[in-house]
Amino acid sequence: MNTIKPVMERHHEHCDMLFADAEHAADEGDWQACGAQLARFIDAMETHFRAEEELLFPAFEQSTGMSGGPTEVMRTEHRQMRDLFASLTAAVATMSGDDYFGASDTLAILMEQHNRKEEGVLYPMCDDRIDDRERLAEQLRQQVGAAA
Amino acid sequence: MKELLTFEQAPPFSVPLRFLLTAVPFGMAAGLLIAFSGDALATRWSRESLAITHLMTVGFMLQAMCGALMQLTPVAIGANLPHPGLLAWLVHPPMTLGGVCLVVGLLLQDPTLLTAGGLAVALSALLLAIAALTALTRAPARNHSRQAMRIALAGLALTVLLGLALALARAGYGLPAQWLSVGAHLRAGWLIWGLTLLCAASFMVVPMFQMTPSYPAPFQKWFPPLLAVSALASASGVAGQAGDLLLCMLAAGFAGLTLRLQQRRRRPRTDASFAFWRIALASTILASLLAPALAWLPDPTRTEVLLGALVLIGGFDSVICAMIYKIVPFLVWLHLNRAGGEQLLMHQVIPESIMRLHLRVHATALASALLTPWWPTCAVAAGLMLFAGHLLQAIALANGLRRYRQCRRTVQVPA
Repeated sequence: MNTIKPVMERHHEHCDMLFADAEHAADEGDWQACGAQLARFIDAMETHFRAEEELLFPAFEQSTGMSGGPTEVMRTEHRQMRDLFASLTAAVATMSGDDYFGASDTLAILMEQHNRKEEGVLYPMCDDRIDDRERLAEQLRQQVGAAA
Repeated sequence: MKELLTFEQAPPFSVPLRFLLTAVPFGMAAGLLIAFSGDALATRWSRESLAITHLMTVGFMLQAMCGALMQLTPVAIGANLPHPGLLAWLVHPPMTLGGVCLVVGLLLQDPTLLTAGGLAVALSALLLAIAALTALTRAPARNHSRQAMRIALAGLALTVLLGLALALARAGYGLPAQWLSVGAHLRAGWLIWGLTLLCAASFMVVPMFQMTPSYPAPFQKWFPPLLAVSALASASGVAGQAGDLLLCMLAAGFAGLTLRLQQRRRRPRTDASFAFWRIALASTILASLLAPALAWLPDPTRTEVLLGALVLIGGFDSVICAMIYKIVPFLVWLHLNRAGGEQLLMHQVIPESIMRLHLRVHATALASALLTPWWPTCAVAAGLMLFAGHLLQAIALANGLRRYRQCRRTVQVPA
């Protein structure tokens, strides 16, 4: 049975790998490679955010009648992560290792605790409460791509 | 159901911060007392040794762990503590003053201070344990950190109740002999409260800080209850030496697994916080290998002191420093981001160079402390280095918070 949680979990995993690839390049001082890896990571994250904000969260809100609460917090954290994407991009432009790792340290914690909340509470709730979850899971899989 | 899923996120910054900041002066005081206790550290039963142990446990460890608990339970588990600001006001002052009274009471053998300190620490810790247990019971998260945290909180309640009985007995109150067990107090504190809470936190933060694989699900599910049951069996004398051996194997197994996971981390760079973790895990393994030997040694006095240094300075002090250096800078960033205005990234709150300096001073303190049982004069170096390390930490935190306040002032206040 196709459910939402494994699809989105696999994509979190994929984004984590891209994040680590960019950090490896920064650690080696290869700023050109870091910039390219960072762009791939940000692109994957934006795809993930769009899938959640345009498909998953509205379906959850419609099924539960909860328009604020968890989905609102998740949207706020997406905005916070986007702020950190900008800090990372600026650090690559100035080739500053301190600034890059300062931002990536912050992002790693924010991203991992965000994923933990989604995987531990929100996605299981979505699988429990959304009636047409299999169709939605397939839509999400198509949107986030082959990595999921 | 609705209020359980609000993911209220972080409590007000002042709630965890007051506990984390209060921990540091207790660490400094422990350093000074070690340095100026003469040869009192020759045995763990001297008044000075008992006072130092409680400066580290009731002062440094309990305060820092309460701060981490109040931050992590709502954020990572979705367990929102009821009225966190009020709860912090009810718990923090008696825990702090009680900790001071208890330590001074142990040092001076003063019955009034022992009674007042024991009661204040026990009641404040019990209040926090009940509030956190209630919140965790209602939490919607389906993870094993919740279970581990509940066991740890039960361990905290048991530790402070056993400790209160010991404090009251020391103050001259006649209590039934079966309530008075230093061994049970120590096992409940080190293993059921301390190590289980460390497990609960590690399940969350080890993958978070370094992007390691998660702890295996069966380990997360079975390790905390197995540790707690073994500690209870050992503390009650049911399991005998086999129980203690099992406990040591469990502690070493947790530390070994964490080291293994950290070897498989995805993030390339190792920082001072990571090195503090390594010291803590290596110390835990060494302590676990050493502890079973106590039963066979004709005179375990020196080894007991060595074990205390490994567990308290090498283990818990190191891992708490590792967490403070991640949690406080992250919270500064988080609360500034929420407020809008000027932002600070983590390395701008506490520079890595300061944390590395603290790491070197702390490692020297630990090495000196491990030599103290055989060369008592090393206690002076150990104590002064422990004091200096926590002083550096206090200065780094104060500077970071000064920058935070400067940035907060740039935020436009709505008319």
